[in-house]
Amino acid sequence: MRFKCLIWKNIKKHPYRNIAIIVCFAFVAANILVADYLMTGVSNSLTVGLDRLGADIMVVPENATSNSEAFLLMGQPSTFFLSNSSLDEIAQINGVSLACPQLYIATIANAPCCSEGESVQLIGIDPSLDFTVTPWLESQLGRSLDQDEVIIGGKIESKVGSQVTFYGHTFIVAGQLESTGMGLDRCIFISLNDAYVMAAESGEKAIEKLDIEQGQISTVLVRIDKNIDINVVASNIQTNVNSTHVITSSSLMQGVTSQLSTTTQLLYITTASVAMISLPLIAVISSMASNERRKEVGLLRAMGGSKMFIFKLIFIEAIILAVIGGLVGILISLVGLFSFQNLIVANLQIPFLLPTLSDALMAASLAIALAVTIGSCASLFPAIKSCNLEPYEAIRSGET
Amino acid sequence: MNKLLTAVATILIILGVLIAIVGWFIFPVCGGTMRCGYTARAETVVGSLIVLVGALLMFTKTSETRILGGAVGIGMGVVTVLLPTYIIGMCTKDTMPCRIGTEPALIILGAIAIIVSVILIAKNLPAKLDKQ
Repeated sequence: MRFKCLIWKNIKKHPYRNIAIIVCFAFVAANILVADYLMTGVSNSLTVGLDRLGADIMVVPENATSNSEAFLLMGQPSTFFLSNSSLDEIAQINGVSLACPQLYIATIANAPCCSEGESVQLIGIDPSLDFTVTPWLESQLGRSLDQDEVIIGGKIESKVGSQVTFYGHTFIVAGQLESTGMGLDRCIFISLNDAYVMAAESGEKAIEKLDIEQGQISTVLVRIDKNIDINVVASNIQTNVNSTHVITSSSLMQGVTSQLSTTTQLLYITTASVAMISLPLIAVISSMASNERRKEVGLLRAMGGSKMFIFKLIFIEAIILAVIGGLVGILISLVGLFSFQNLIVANLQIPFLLPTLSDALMAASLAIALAVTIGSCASLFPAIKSCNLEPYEAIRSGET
Repeated sequence: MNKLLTAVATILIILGVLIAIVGWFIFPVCGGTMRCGYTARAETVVGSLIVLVGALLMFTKTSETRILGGAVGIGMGVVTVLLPTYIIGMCTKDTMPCRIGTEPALIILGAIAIIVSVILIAKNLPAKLDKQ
């Protein structure tokens, strides 16, 4: 108890100096946590989103590569078409287990389902071939998608059972998918037949005509045979089916990681710089503090305090400051991240799903561990120097 | 106590200024004629009052007035949080600039104002009770 009191009194004796040290530790811990949190959130989002997509490979038209990636990651709607023969060609390629077509239609702005001029992505699926949302719907409702029914993404503001109208055609919401943090949250699944009917009627019913012919598709989702290398199948599709581009989960992940790399690199460089500056800075401050306390150290030694006691006194003080700084940094960064999560995601243009509690705890532990490591390394030399002082010499030099 | 009082008063003045300008300069709202625009205007008034409370706290000498100042600070903090979330509100869509920037910033600033005011009351309450 006395030992704890002594450390606490020492910390309280120099509030401004200790606050400066705590700020250094807080900055290091906050940077580490933010970088780790962002990377985990992106990874979570891609894992859940790609799992929801249910496909190993997505085949898109060559000229719509960036559009389709922008939709998948950030939900930016677009309309594009693949050659009608592509589905049959892809289905015949060795290693392709399942192939299903999808039709992408960007709705006009101010669609009745969505407020403030935002358009959404309509995705036409073939319920008989689809392996993405149909199995989910069958497990939830015990049936597939009926005529004039839609499934909405996790962030579409409509309720199950309500009506939504696109291009003058009214649909009923049959189900809502869970959030993934990816573009899928802002899309609406309809059956391909309904999409063709909607397009045919749009000339009369809608403000803007939808030019889609019967049988037109936008992408083909592919599930490959087990034990076959995904890259081989992707390469075969790219070679054998003209004017197409393949998107795999790894290429998507690579794209997002490179997009985020500037931010994370900046955070890591800042952390490294602050750590490199704070390490000698804290070491110098600790040395100054131990020099100031030579008399106190001498008296403690003269009163029977062992070398280990003195060592622990200085070393633990630094570790306590590191832990306080680390906790402050974690608290501030977590409040900031939770509060401004949507702003960060919107500005960085990344898919993001809130990391789990265990992931957040892991990141926080890493941040604290780094702060404690810096604190213990910086205080090691002054602690050893102080504990080796001779009591008489220390008291005498402390008085001058 | 004087150091704490000066610190709390300074923090409240800074918070007041931030609350007053956040909706216009730091995290701008979507538009002056929209719902979030009215919230920003109301927050400007609340922020100015918080600055006034902080400034007046600097001149207080008794624990009673400091406790009262703290209580007003708590009230102002609560109003800062309630204006964008309950009283006036923000735009409906959760992707709008006012929802992703202004609202969380105001909630954090209001919460800090409440915490700081509670600390001021907690530190002055024993002195007040001792007098009684």
